[in-house]
Order: sequence, then structure tokens, then C-alpha cells
Amino acid sequence: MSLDNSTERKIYGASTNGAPLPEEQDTTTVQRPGLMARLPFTGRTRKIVEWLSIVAAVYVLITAVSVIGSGFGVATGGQAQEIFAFAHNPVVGLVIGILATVLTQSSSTTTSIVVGLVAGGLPLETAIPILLGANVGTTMTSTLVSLGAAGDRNQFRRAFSAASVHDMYNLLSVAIFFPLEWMFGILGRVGTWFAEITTGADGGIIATVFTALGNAVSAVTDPGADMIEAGALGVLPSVWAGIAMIIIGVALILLVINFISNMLKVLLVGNVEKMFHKAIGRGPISGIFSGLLITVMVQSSSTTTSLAVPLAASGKFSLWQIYPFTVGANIGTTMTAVIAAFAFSGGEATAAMTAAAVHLFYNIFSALTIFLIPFLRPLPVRGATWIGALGARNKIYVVAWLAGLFVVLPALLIGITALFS
Amino acid sequence: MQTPDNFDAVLQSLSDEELLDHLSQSETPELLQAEVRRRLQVRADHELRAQQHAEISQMVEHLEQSRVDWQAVREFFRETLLEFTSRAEDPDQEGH
Repeated sequence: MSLDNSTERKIYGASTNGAPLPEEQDTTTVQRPGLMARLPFTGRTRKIVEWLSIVAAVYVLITAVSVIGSGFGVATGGQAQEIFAFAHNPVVGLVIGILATVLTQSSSTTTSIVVGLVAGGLPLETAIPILLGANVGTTMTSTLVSLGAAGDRNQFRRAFSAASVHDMYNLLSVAIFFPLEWMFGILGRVGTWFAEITTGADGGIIATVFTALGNAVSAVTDPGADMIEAGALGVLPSVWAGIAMIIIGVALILLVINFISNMLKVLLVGNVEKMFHKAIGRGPISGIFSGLLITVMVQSSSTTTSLAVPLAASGKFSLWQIYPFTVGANIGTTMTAVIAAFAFSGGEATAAMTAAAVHLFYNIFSALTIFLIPFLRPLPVRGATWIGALGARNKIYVVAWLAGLFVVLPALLIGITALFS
Repeated sequence: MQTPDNFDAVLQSLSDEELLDHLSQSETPELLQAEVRRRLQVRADHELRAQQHAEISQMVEHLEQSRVDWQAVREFFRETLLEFTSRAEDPDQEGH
């Protein structure tokens, strides 16, 4: 006997898909960035101003990526391959990606910077491990969020486990694809192919559309980038001007990426909530797509994966339910690098899109591989359950895990490869 | 003749009270017990689903909680270090 209709309606409301109809969300209770909170606008006018501020921030982001690309080209004078010979060891690149993302607390920042550097001449083989490392580095954020639940042992076990699903998943992805890339260059080949069809001269209608879009964006952002370049070159010798441009570009990216993410959270929190409601009880594929869409909406994988922490800590969501959102978040965050690639035109656009495509396909392939191969799929959850139980038993295991993952393992890998090279 | 499918459908059509009556009178209660367990599971699933939706409805609070609380992080490492050093000094002390 199933529940009668009146009971179901009581639990689920009158919607046909089982999800309760979300009430009108008061978006003003999500904390705005300080400057935006002080604006003297209300209602519809405020919403318009806030959306315009996001457009302006995206403009600054794309301009900053362009500045980094130009700065890199100026600083290296076309000698990027020789200058970055030290990073020819892909493990060094992987560690750079991990550490840069841990420092900035944003994989989108690292990947946007890498897209700019590749457009400016950084060899793709050097950039790819950095992009893979960014995926690992970004897991630090959700782990730090989970430490806030340390006051209650059970809550902390659940929170730390939920955060660690992200760690375990990304470690597994790197363990699979890093050697494959090193030996066969799979990701580089796929990235190059995608860039050719979207930006290459022989790419057909798709390339025509992408190129037109890129040219339009460049036309708008180039004046700002050229101004910064002219200012730097007017004051400093070329190498130092290039370095100054890179620093300015990085600083601007750091500034606006957080702003964009925070503002999108304010404006789209209702939509985020609806997506979570719809995804509940619908299986892992729905969870992956929901994680992907939410991350694209808020332009931050850290937001989606960190959101899993309090949800899991509440005890109402299992790790198996959290897991697909994490996978989707990894894919969704690649959109930022794709957006950054539109900062360029011509040959630089192809190079930039190649880097962005590598990041995109790495995450898609990881999801397909780990989710479709039966013995791989449970590994992140099992690993997270194990480390969560350890961490709840004694906090020193948490410190050891963090130190091991972000300090000892990178140092060990570099040491081993240096010994054998 | 009652087939297994028919019997399942019959069981599912009974109300909770009718099912308990049959259970108390039946000489082979296994099928009835299985139906009771099935109903309990369905109700537990529905209740969990409702609780999950209720949690998601607190999205604003959860978004705030999903930020890094640097004070909590510092406190965590400070307490862990204190615990570790005090255990190193007194190995007999119980952990966590």
C-alpha cells in the first residue's frame, strides 16, 4: 500500500515531481560584498545594477587575462620554452597548480591565469599539469570549511568526510590522467582538436561563430588591456613591464573572481535552491548535472563543494548523494577558463582555447571514467568515509592529511622525479 | 487462484489496521512481516526526503556556513597542537 494522496501532498506540496514548491526566496539575506551592500538602490533597480556590476566584473576578468597574456609575451620575449625549462618536469607543474590554487583558494583564478599565460607563449605541455594541479588545490577550501564543525564529533565526521569526497575524487582523477597525459599526451591532443574546430581557420561554422564572438569581446577589452600595457612599458624596461603586467592581471583576476562568485550567489540563490530540490532522489546523473549547472551559475566550484559540507553535516544527506554534485562542480568550473579564452583573437585565441579545452575535457573524462567503471566509482566515497572516521577520532589525523596532501606528497613527487631525471 | 503477484497486490491494498489483524491471526506471517517492513521503509524514505527538502530550504544559511571560518580554522589547529604536545608530554593521557 502506498501513501495516500493527501499524505504525499502534505510532504511534497502539489508539484508533480515530488519536490516542494520553494517559497519566494529573500535573496537580500545572502551577504553581499561590502561595496554593493552600501549602494543606495532597492528592488528592481538594485537587481539591474547588480547584474551590470557582474557584467563589468566579467569585462575586467577578460581584460586581466589579456593583460597576463601580453605581459607574459613581453616578459619572456618569445623565450618562454627556455625560461620555463625548470617546469618541464610535469610533477613540478602539478605542484605549482596545487600550491597556486591553495594560496588563491580558487581554481578559476589559477586556470584563468594559465589560459592567459598559454596565449602569451607558455608551452601547453608545461600548462597542462598546472591545470590538473588546480583541481587538487581547490579541495582545500571545502576541507577548511569542514573544520568549522569540529565542535561536535559526529557532525565533524560527516562534514570532513563530505569535504574529503572532493579530495579523493580529484586525487583519483590525477592518478589516472596524469600518467596518461605524460605518456600519450591525450589531453593535449583533445584540447588542440577542440581549439581547432572552435577557433581554427578550417573549423567551419562553429569556428566562425566562436571567432566572431572572440573578436567582438577582444574589441571591447583590448583598449583597457592596451592602456595597461602602454602604462607599464612607458614606466619600466620591457621585462619588468611584462612582470608588472602579469602581477596587475593576477591581482585583478583575484579581485573580480571572488566578486563575481559572491554577487552571483546573492542573485541566484533561489535558482540554486530550486536545482537542489529537483535533484533530490533522482539519482547520480541528475546530481552531476545539478552540480554542473549550479557551479556554472555561481562561477565557483568551491561554493558548490563547500555547500555539500553543511548539508552532509546535518546528517540528512549521505556521501553518495553529495558525491555527484562534487563531480558536476568539477566540470562546471571549467567554464571560467573557457570564458577567459575569449580574451584573445587569432593565433592567441587558439592557444588560449586549447588550454581551456584541456581543463574541460580532463574533467569530463574523469567523470566518465570514474563513474562508468564500477570498481572505481565507490573509491572516493570509501576513502572519504575512512579519513572522516580517522579525523573524528583524533584531530591530528586531519592535520596529517592536510600536510600530507598539500606538502609532503608534492615534495615527495618532485624529489622522486628529480632523482630519476 | 491467488498468484504471488495477486497476493502482493492484495497485501498492499490492506490498511495498516487490517494488516496487523492478519498478522496476529496468520500461521505464516513472513509475507505479512515483509509487507510491514516495506511500508516502514517507504515511510522512512518519505520522511528523510522531506527532511532533505527542509534542509535545502535553508539554502541561505547553508551558503553562509559554506564560507571558510578562519577563526575556527585557527582554533582547530591551535587545539590540535595543544592536544598533540600535551599527549607527547604525557603519553598516558586519553586522546580526543
